[in-house]
Amino acid sequence: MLLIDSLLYYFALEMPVNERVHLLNMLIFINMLFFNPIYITSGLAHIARSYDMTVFEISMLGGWRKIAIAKIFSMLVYMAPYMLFQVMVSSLFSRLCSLDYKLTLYTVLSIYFYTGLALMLSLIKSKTTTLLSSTLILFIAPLSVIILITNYLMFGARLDNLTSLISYILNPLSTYWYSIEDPGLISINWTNGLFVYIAVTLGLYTSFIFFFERAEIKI
Amino acid sequence: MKLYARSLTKYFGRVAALVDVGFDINAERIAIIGQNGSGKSTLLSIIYGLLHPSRGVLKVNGYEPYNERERASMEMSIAFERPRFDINVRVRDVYKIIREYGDCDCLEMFWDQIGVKSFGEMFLPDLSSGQKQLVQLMQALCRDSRIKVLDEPFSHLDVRNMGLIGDYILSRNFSVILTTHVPEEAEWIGEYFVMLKEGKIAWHGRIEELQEQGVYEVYLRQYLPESLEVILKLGYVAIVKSSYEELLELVERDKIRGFKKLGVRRYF
Repeated sequence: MLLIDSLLYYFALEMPVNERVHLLNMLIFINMLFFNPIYITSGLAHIARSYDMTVFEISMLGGWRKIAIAKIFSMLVYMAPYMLFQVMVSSLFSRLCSLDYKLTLYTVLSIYFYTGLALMLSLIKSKTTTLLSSTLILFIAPLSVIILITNYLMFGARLDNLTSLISYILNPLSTYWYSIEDPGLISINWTNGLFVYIAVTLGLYTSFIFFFERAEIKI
Repeated sequence: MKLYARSLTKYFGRVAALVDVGFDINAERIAIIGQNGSGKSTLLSIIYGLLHPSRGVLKVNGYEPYNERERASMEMSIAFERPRFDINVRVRDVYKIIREYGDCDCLEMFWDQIGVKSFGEMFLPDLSSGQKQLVQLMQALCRDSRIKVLDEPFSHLDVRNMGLIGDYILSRNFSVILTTHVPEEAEWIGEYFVMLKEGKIAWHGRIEELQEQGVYEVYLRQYLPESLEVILKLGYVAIVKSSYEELLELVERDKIRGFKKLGVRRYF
């Protein structure tokens, strides 16, 4: 905490408020578009295995569900240091820009969501396809939300409920960020967004177990 | 073990891998035999619950394994041919996991007698095809399960290891379902035989049902003796009509390497 406070102290002295906000905006952008795809896909490389390997594991450990759960835990354990780092950085910048805890909350949740999405992609038979599609989707999905919202901003329009929900799901950080910058832009509030977000994220993990248990495998 | 199938059919796209397969077997060691591409591995995949049939039903001890996968994976363990391991796990780690709830005698046999220990520090993807086969068999045979599903278990193995593993399978009281395209392997281990040909059942039954007076399988030495009446020639083995005395004389004159009673090769 002392380190964070010291950093805050120096940033606060050195940087005007506008620049701090720009810095935070840039950080969110880089985080969503580059760090998340790279780190999550690197974790996925360990989870996405050939079907031969999966059958070997199922036979050795005697169960489908326990393998699916082990894959989820293994992925989350791999993500833990990254999440911790993200929490530290986003807390630091939230305090720097006088924002509340929501930014940090969405940072962590977005990693959970994209990890779940990556797990779903690991069900694809080809490992190469899994890794490529994971990198692309994890890059394109948040970017598309940023493009969408900036277009709405440009035309002075307001995102309807469904579009707001999709925006919250695909890029919660940017959606939350824009909702602060322009309070009328996003039609659903952050608590509803959070609720849907958690539901969709849990749905992804449950779906992974469901579809993994029903995968068709030809040896 | 009871193995039951009715109108079992499996399509991959438009290609039929199994067509109207049906049997009702009560035996402890079942050998599924057939040429390459006859549907053996597909049938094994359905038996272990990895695949759903396109049509029909298959039951192992009264339940459909593809609909009760958790139960199937608890009761059965599987070893399949030519595995593609793509994760860096050491053989020693696999051994340690199986040791937690496996058969210690079996593990000792694989680790010390067969010599898995000698490549214990190697990673799975770096193993040769024979070593991968041994790790697979160690996993399937030593894990605590009632039914062992083995796809071509002896391919890639040398005769010494094949002998040790075959003897182990015969000495234990677990049930075995194995596939092979080598008739001698099937006849060595099998108690009941299912012969597949182009996805269909060519024959199923016990070996006693195949015995036919005056018909033998002859192991050739270079050329087939002209005096023999050939029914079918399959590589270095020919199915011939002859008498025991005539064949014994041919062996003594070193014209043939040996002969045996007609077996499952008849349906190849």
